[in-house]
Amino acid sequence: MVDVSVANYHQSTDPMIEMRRVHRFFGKTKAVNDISFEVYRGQVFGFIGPNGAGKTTSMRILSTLELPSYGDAIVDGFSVINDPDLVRRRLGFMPDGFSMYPNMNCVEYLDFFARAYGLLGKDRMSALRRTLSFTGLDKIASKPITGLSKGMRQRLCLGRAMIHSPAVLILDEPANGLDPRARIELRQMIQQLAVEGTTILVSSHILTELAEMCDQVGIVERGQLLATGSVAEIQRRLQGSTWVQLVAIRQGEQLEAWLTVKPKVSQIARTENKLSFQFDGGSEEQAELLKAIVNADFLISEFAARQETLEDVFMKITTGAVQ
Amino acid sequence: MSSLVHPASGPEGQGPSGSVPPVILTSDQTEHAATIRQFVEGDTPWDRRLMKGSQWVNPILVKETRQALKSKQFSFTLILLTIVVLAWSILAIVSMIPSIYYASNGAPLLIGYAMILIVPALIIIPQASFRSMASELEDGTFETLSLSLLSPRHIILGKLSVAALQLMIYVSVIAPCIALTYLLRGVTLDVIAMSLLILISCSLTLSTLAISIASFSKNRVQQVFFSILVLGAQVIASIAVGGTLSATVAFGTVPWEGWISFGVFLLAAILYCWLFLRCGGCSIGVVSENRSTPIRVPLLTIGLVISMLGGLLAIRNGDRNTMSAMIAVVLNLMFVHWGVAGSIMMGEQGIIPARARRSLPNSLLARLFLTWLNPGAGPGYLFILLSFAGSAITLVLSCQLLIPITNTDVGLHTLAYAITLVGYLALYLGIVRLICLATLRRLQTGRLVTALTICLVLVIAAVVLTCSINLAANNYQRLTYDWYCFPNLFWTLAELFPDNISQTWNSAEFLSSIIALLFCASVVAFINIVLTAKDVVILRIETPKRVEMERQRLRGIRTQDDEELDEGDVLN
Repeated sequence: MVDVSVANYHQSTDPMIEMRRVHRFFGKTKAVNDISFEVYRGQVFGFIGPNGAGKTTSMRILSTLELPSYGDAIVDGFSVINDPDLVRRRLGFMPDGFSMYPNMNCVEYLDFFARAYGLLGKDRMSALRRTLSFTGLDKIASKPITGLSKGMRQRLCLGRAMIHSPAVLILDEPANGLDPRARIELRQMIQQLAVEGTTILVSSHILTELAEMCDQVGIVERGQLLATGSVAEIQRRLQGSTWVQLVAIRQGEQLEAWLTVKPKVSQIARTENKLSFQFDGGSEEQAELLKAIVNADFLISEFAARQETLEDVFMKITTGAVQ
Repeated sequence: MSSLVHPASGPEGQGPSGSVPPVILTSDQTEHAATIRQFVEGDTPWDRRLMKGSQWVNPILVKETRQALKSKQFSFTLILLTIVVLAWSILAIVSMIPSIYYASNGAPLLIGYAMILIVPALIIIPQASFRSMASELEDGTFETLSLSLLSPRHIILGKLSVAALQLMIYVSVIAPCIALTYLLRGVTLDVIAMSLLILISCSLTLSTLAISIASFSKNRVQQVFFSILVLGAQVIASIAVGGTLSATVAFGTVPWEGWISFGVFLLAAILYCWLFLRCGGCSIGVVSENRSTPIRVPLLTIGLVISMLGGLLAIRNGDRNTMSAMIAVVLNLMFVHWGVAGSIMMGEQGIIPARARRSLPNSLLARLFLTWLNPGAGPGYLFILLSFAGSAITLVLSCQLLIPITNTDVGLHTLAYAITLVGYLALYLGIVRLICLATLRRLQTGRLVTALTICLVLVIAAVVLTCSINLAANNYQRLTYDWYCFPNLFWTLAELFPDNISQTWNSAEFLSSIIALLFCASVVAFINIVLTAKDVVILRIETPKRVEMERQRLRGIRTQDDEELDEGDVLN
């Protein structure tokens, strides 16, 4: 008699976005295959995966534009299946490919969506002001949409998604096709929104950017979530190794031979006196290794450890297979 | 200089995330803010009043009016209409000189204006409405629109109101010229009123159909197909309206039968527009929503209106000999209405969404009797059958009670005709549902069209088969109705049609045919009712407390939690 899909009362500490064993099939293609994760208030969650991994489908399910074949997705405590109208009230969605109405300018476009979200009078005016100023479109408010550059259109689309101050923003490839400056500005906007308490789910191909702005990432491939958590957490879970770069003064060959027999050291590469190798240990073990090298009378001029980046992790986890 | 701007607040505009910190504007931004204020509030007092009023208007109407004012299509049509109207006025007046000074020359002029107005009213406006809706779906702008608080009903009514506004502008362009025709004599006010009413109602009906049909088209192929369909309907309607208007103006006055006929047309147009709007709304609505009940309500209303109006017409106009034939015509109309609706309904998936299950009645008895409007082919079958049987038999019996037919045989004949129609509905819809259950389990899209196609194929197959068997039985020389021809509904109904009181409808062939039909229909209906039992045993599920609270809050009802929160604020 009780609908178990939604908790009776949503606490502020509960996740804002929750995917519960979501599946989505298109014929025999499993676009989304058993994806579950949670995103909490004010967090930025990065969705990473190759083309056709199921990112957009997952985002469309969360935005109530697609129904899951199995499972449920919850936004701010409301099910996308049973209460899509309530989900839509607290959601802003910026799709990957979007088209706009002809014969309209920026402010008319945003004004239409402000009206569509039921904003009246002064509320509408302040929402317009806030959005135009936030997205930097206030200077070109009366410019026709058809004359906007790609970056400006992306800003306008972001403005449309946030005009009603939604609790959750879903951004599908927002930085796609933007120049470096526009990308940096977009990243700053997303970070600012997160600071203001908006929960953001963002997908992108530019992994360095995601690593900088996301609290958590989810790596998907062939419809399955392969790893989730912060980049550091994922590295830990993968027992992420560290790349060490070492420059010796003379005796490079001997040092290579010496390192070969050492535990936790692998994949040694040498160019004269410059060595690099993979080291499966923490920072204390690194220090121990350095001490041992010095004690073994090798003269070292440089010792640098580099953690795996999100790109390394992504390449390690995914296989590049498509369905 | 900087100023504070507070973000949207209040139940309508508030972001559900709650409070968002205010934005501090720089002096440069304050200038832009003034521009935005000017845009939102307007420059002049008249603008301000208009802008204030516009916030209560459908946003789609505001958006599309802004777009139309900048679009070439609207400006071009308006200018062209003005030029053509002026040209026609000058040409007609010049050609009427000198008789214009003494003869009544208003009628030919009015016919000309009506013909000119037909082009924008019946061709351009409905096509523009179709394109407007279709392009929303095609360009992907509908998805972003559907995520807003605008319901499908809002979207469709917004598009319709744009069509109405455009029509109003076009009519207002031609209005002074129509007034001129009255001054020239030869046309009465009731003719002018009737002409305008016919044009306006036909234009809005076509626009409604165009918008609804456009909302069914999910891909380009469907759009092209539906576009041709709409264009065909527009051409036919234009010819019919043109002919009617010419006849009305030429007749010189509108008789009361004309007003009644127009009233009946208007009622039918309103009811079917209501049905189509509901279908369009459900087509673009949320998939998990209960999309059947909103369609079944207008279906039932139309069925009842046909039955009541038909009954009234039969009692009012029919003499005792022709009344049964009139009732049979009304029954046929009802049969077509329920038959087409039912065959589409049989393709519905028998899944009641969780959301619809929240509103199911609690007790088994209530579920038994109040689930006809629920989604699914099973409840739909019962809904169609009971609605048609109830209204058809009530119509026949009430007509006979009000005007007793002296010949009891004629009365029985009409009743037998009604029962035969019920039998056909039960048989064909039942078979279609069983076929759908067996074959369409995995089909997700196109189920409704498939069910309608199955029904048509079945009916045609029955006609071909029975005629072939009958011809073979008669050495390929003639067709003679026999009892085994009962699956052929056209033949049986034609033979049984009560147009002749001396007709020997109760012959052995007819009676055995009806008995065979009713037997088969009963078996099929029984199987379907047994299969429908699973829809009745579905239990209601409770609405989650948070959802209930949120809905109450949106309706402006304060909950206990709100009061507790307020008390907390006071204490803090």
